[in-house]
Amino acid sequence: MASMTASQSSPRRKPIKWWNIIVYIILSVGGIAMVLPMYWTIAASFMTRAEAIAFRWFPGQLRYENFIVAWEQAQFSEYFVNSVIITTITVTGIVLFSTLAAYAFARMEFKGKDFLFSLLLSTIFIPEMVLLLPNFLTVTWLGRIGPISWVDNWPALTIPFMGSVFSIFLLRQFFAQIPRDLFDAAKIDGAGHFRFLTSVVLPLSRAPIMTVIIFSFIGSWNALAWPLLVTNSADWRPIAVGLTNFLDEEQQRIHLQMAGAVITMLPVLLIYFFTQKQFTEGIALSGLKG
Amino acid sequence: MASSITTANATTARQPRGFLSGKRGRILKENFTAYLFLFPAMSLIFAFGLYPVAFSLYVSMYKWKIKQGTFLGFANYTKAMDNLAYIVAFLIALGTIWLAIQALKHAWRTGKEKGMQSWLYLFPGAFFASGTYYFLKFIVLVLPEILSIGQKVQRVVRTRELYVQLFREAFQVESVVQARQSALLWLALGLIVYFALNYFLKSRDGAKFLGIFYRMTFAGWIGFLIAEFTWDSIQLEYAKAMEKGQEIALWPQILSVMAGLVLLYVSWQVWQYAQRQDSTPKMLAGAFAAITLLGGAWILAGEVPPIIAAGDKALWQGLMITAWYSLGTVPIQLAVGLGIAYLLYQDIKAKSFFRMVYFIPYITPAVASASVFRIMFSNRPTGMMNNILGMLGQEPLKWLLEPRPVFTIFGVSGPSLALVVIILFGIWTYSGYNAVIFLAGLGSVPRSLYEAAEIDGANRWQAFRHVTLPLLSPITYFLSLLGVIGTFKAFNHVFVLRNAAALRTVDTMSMVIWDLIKTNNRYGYGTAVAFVLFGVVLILTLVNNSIQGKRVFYG
Repeated sequence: MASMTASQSSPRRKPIKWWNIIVYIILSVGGIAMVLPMYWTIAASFMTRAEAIAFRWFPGQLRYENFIVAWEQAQFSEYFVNSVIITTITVTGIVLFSTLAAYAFARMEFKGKDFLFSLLLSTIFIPEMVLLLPNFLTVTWLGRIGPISWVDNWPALTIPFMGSVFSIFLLRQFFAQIPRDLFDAAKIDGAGHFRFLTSVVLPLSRAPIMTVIIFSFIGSWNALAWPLLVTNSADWRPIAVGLTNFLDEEQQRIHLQMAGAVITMLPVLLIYFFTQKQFTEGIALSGLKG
Repeated sequence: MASSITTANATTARQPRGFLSGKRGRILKENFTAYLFLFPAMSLIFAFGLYPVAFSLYVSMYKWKIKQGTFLGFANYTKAMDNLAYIVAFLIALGTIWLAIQALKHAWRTGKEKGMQSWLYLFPGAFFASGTYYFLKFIVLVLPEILSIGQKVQRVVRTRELYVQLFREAFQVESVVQARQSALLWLALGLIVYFALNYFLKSRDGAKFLGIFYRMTFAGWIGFLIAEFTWDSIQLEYAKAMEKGQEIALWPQILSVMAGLVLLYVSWQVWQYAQRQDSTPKMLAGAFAAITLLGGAWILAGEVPPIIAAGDKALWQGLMITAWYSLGTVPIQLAVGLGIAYLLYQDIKAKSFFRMVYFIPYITPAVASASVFRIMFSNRPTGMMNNILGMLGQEPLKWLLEPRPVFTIFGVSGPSLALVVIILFGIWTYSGYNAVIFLAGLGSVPRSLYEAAEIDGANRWQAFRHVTLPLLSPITYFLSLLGVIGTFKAFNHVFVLRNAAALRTVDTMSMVIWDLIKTNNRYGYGTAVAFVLFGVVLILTLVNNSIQGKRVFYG
């Protein structure tokens, strides 16, 4: 990418100055529009209630208490911990299972491979709303039959998400690019598929696995409809559900709502800032190949 | 110990011996390992991604409010979209039978090629089809029995013996046993006949013939069953109307809608034909296509509105709102995304900084950013948007609480102001995402093409119009499909931004289904409506494929 931009500058250098200034202006205006809501969320989370309702642009003084109130009284601490646990379990499961499945699709020969893969891809056209109720009935049943309850407990919130078509697809695209020679060499050394996967493929695939981790983290952190359906107490309510409940209950306490929104966004935005290069490249990869 | 294992491995690798060795053994082992690798992910995707589709079809055929009630057949669907349900059912039956006819054609051709004895495989094919049918029947019959175990073990001491006993009971209900035995019998018969044929005919294409005839008989049989069930349901409806002493015109309605659809299809085919012809036949065929199109459209315009009016208002309103939402977001977010990508592609500094900034809305949890939009577009005169309006000397608006449409054309009311705010939210969220994907696409356009365009004297706009846009068409196609499906899936932000004061004018299909399932506990009807949504998404995907797919340029 960098080399391309360098080479493209040479042919038309002279008329570009004015054009560039226009480009910068448009991009800046657009960029401000993109981050303005974020800015105000953060600003309002430090305001008094009166300031937030009057829609001031700057807090008169930074009130950190809002966060303490939201964290403690509005139970955001509980929701936050729930979300961390749910997300950790889900992401671990996705990475583990998707790596195995993606490797099988990319590097192994077996009966019904094409059929299974097209079956997998066909699921992306199924709207979540079709799956919601039958899955709810299934997890209720599983909870009644099995040793632990699924509804309002971690299994219902994590296990159904662990089979991730998107992650399998992304990893398969990457695994398929690993040269076949490497595998043949490993085979001569006596390594089977599992050894090859753990000792050669995984070390080479840090970037796509990172992408899968980030994507599934965000997907799990943002999930709303399903957790709304399968949680009925604060014990396992994730933060997205906690925030929506708080919005309904506290129409007037805007500053606290914004503090809650900041708490909800913060982990995702932090992860994004630290990994944004990988993230945008992962998006582009998934989008182009899809 | 460890060393002995390594040596053992080394010997098997070099000198294959024993059961899992040799070429056949290696293939077996490879298959087995592959299935082992696939098992966790695939079983979860099957259990929570595919099976629920079949299960919700099952649920939608019942009266089901928290607990399973009586079998209703199509009643939930006719409640949702009135007689359109029967028409769709007939179309599905026709489609399935069409598949069977395709297989028949295929069989005919292979029969000609490879000798008519291949038709003998019709028998095992039909036996397997019959076996599959009884197996499906077995599943449908045993499912409620197994589901009811969940209720039976509540408030009892749960022991292993109890579970074993309950599961055994579930499988020993008389009808279940019958279906299971029939399935096993037909499958066994099919197997025997198949292997016997393979043995006597010494044909190497046995599996292929079996596949063709299996598809043919199974699709034909299922298509026939759907058609018969629909027919019976319609007759039942007539009988009910007779009892009440009412007059209903179901058949004329169904037949005329079908005729309208057939005319539309004929028109499309003739139009395609006309495109391939020279001037005079082209004009004639084109004129004919136009006439049939008008005829079909005229019939449908007369027949469909009353059917819609008789269906569920909330459903049609939800579809309408989703359509407005799609129309409002997808084209604009594509255009804005392409614009941003084009600007970012210029020779500028801080490219990755801008890319990061534009991506923030997509990454932010929708619940959090929507809660900010709620406050920005609040109806208070001091709210941000009303503040801006005030500076421009305008009256404050109610924004998210405003149910009145922003415009009305030809008696069709447009989106409400509340929906417009949600559309703005959608554009704000997805423009950056589209930009990043377009940007990656721009990076893959070969430099040489631009240089060639420059030599030909093309300016910036011409190069964009004739080089960039065509080369980006696969991405545009992909993003538009994703965008439309996305609007049908949209949940989080709509859920946060909806307000009772907006009088359901922002309730997209997802919201309508959510309310049915979660708020009203109408499981059976809710899943029927969800299936209607599924059908709409499928039709849109197919239409998008056939219209846009042809014009996409894959450089």
